[in-house]
Order: sequence, then structure tokens, then C-alpha cells
Amino acid sequence: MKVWAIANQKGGVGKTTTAVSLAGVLAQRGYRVLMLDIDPQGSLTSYFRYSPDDLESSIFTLFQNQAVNPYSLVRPTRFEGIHILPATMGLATLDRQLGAKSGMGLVINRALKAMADKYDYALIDCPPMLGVLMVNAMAACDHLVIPVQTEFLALKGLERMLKTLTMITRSRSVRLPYTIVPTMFDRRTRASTETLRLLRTRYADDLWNSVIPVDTQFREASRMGVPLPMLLPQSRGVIAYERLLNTLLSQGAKQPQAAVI
Amino acid sequence: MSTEDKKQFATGVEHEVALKVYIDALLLEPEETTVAPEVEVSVVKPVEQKIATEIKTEAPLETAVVETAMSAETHPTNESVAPVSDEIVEYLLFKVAGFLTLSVPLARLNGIVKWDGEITPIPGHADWFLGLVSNRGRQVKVIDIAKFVIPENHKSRQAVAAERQFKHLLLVDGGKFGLACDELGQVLKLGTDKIRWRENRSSRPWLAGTIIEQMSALLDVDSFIEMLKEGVPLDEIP
Repeated sequence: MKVWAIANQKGGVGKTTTAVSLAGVLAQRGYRVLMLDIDPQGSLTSYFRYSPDDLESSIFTLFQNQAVNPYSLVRPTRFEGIHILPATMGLATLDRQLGAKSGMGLVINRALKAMADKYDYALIDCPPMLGVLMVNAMAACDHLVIPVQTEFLALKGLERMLKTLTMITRSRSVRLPYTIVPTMFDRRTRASTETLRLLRTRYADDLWNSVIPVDTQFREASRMGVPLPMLLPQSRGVIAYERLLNTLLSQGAKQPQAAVI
Repeated sequence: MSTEDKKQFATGVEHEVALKVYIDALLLEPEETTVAPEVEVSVVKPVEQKIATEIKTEAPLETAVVETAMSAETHPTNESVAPVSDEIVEYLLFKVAGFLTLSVPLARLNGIVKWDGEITPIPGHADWFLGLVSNRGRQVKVIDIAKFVIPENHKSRQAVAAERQFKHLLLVDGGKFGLACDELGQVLKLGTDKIRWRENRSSRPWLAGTIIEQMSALLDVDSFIEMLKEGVPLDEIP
């Protein structure tokens, strides 16, 4: 199982959209995908029509009792090949409950290892702030995907994210490869084109060579609770995520173990 | 470096040290691995225990099946009518009527939709036929599966009549029927040897067998749909 975390210490940059769209394309290609929602806001959980407010068990359960079989917390979605480990509101209290309790940054890593033979890919939708959950995601993943909205303020969030990454890399003493993904790109606006130019200048080595365009269909897909690849496979947003997936796969290619779940 | 610069530098370093201490502590590997994620502690287990009791009380004939279920695991061929295949199948556990945990092969579902219990009742039918719900422009016949599977004269049926908390519909038969359920449970990936298949299906043909470890009654979707169609003739309802 390959584990990708989708993270940025800024909200609203397209993390959940990226997670859902990549999962949609992976599932369509026959891979078994597990999505993990570790954002206490539970956007990903709501996307798949589970309510973060009243689920009985979630990733939070795992932090409360690590003896729980993580697979028992996984729920199906309406989409073949996509399962979800949902979030609940309780996640927001984790940092207060745990503080920097020794070893609590490895909970998700262990849970995913226990399910390694059940999925081809695990995609972690991260919260927009540094804390025990973000550390967990970065300790568990093989690759970090950092969506960056192509507007001026976004660069600050990216800097912060990369700083966190440096610190975690030092602590893990393993290099964590990452890909910066420009999102919500609108070629007609100066903010978009200028931000992309800056990204190319500053982060050339780790920047994806294409962009995810603004596409109103993402909002529509979210409203319907359907990954856009399943709703409109020919939309330009999906075509862009197909391209992104190809890039990510070429960086660590893996063949599906089974056609369907 | 000015005093102001030094101050900022110091704060920056402190900040970084604090973060480093925080992250290092979180990522500290325990000396001995005491955590064993493979220990099966299921969230829905208390309910699953109840179903075993349910099966026993509702049909004495089944008691033997349930009680010998564990030994069947060590002798999988003994009286088993499991399809000869080592295929791994996914089963979804779900809870109905607050106390009954049933299971269904995940692949046989046409979808799972959230449902708040709002319905158009169609009077004059069996009490397990709750009525119609519109889903994506299509009428779904909603089945109270608990009332369907518990015999009419059985005492646990009284408990079913109490306040219900429907939350989901499991769609079957291309979405024509929706099985009302209170709660979705875990998804189990099991080989055929993890299920005690029923040999004699003349009574309760909807019951394919029992998932041994969870003691969950496994629905035979085809027989179930067939029985539903007999009970709710399609042409009577728009």
C-alpha cells in the first residue's frame, strides 16, 4: 500500500477536492483506495455523506483505544473501490487531550500498516494546522501532495508547510518526497499567472509541471457527494487530476493487486 | 545585528526548538511494541452477541447451528455447503431495530443512501412494507427488514415496534427496494470458510448462513428479493 498525504497549513486550497479527485481516478483504474479524513472539520467525511457530528466511531476511536482493529472503523462509500475512515468532531480535542504524548504521532502509521494488504492506496486529507494529526499523517505517508491555490496569500502557507516538513523529516530521519500542486488556476487573472511564475522560480524542483484549473464542476460534484471523475470524467478538472495522478504514479509506480474491492 | 534583530532571532530559535521537542516526542518509537492492532475489538460486537441470542430464541432449530459454529471453523468441510471457492468476499454488517445485526455481501448492494425516515406510506400491505421513498427520481420500496425477518408471533417483534431510528437505506434489486437500517457497521472481508452456510433452506430461505465470528445472520439477497416481490407485487404500486 502506498500512502499519500494531502496537506497544506492553509485552508481552502483544494485539499479535499484533490483527495477525492485522486481517489476517484485511482478507483476508476481499478485500485483499492482507502481515504482517511483527519481534519476535525470533516469535509471529506461529509463529502461521502457521513455526518462528522454523529458517527459512533471514527479515526478518533483509534486515538482513544489503539487496540481497536482499524479495519473495523472503515466504512464503505457508494463508490466501488473507495472506502473511508471518517472524521468526527472529537478529533479537534486531540491536541488538548494528548499534548505531545510520546509516540502518539505514529498511531495512523501503525493502523495503516495493519491494513496494508487491503488497499493499494491510502489518501490522507489533512487538517490545515500543525498538530498531532498532521504529524501522524506525515509520519505515515510515502509522499506528500501540497495543493497551493494560485493566489498571493497562498505562498505564505506553503512556506510554513515546507518548514514543518523539514522538521518532521529531521525527526523521522527519512526524506519525504513531495509535490507542490498549483490549484484553482485561472489564466485570466494576474494573481494566478503571477503566483505560478513565483512558484516556478522558487520551487522548480518539487513543483508539478502542470496546474489544476478552476472548474465550477468541482463544486457541483461536492454538492452531489460524487467524486468528479465519476460524475464528469471528461471535465477539464478531471483531465488535470488524471495528469497529476500519472505524474505521482510515475514517481512510485504500483500495479493494482485486484481489479475491484 | 541590532538588538531588535537579536530578539527576533532568539524568538525564532525558541519557536523552532519548541516545535522540534513537540514533533520528536510525538514520533518517539516505543521501546517495546505493546500495541497490537490485530486484536479484534469490534465496535459493534455487543450487538453481535445479541443477535446470537436472537437466533437462538427465535428458532430452536437454529441453536445447534449457532452453537456449533465455532467448531465449524476448525472443521470447515463438516456439513458445510459453502461454495467451493477460496474467493474472498466483502460483507457489510448493519444494525436494524436497534438490536439485530445482519450482514449482506457488499457487491450485491446497488448503493447506500442516507435516509431520515421520511416516507410516503402505502396502506393495505404487510407491516414490513413501510412505503415509498423517492431517490433520484425513482420510487424505492422501503422494507422494514427487522419486521420481515422476525416471525409475527415472536416476542422480540414487540421491541421492533418501539421507536425506530432509521438512518440509511441499503438499495437492492437495481434500487427497486431499500432496506431500512439504523446503523452501518464494519465491512468484513471473508473467505467462504468463515461462514456457516445453511444446508436446509426450506424455511427462511432469505437466511444464507451465519458469519461465524460476528454471529451475524447473512442475507441471501436473491431469495430475499424474491420473497419481497411475492409480498409486495410490483404492479400494484406505481
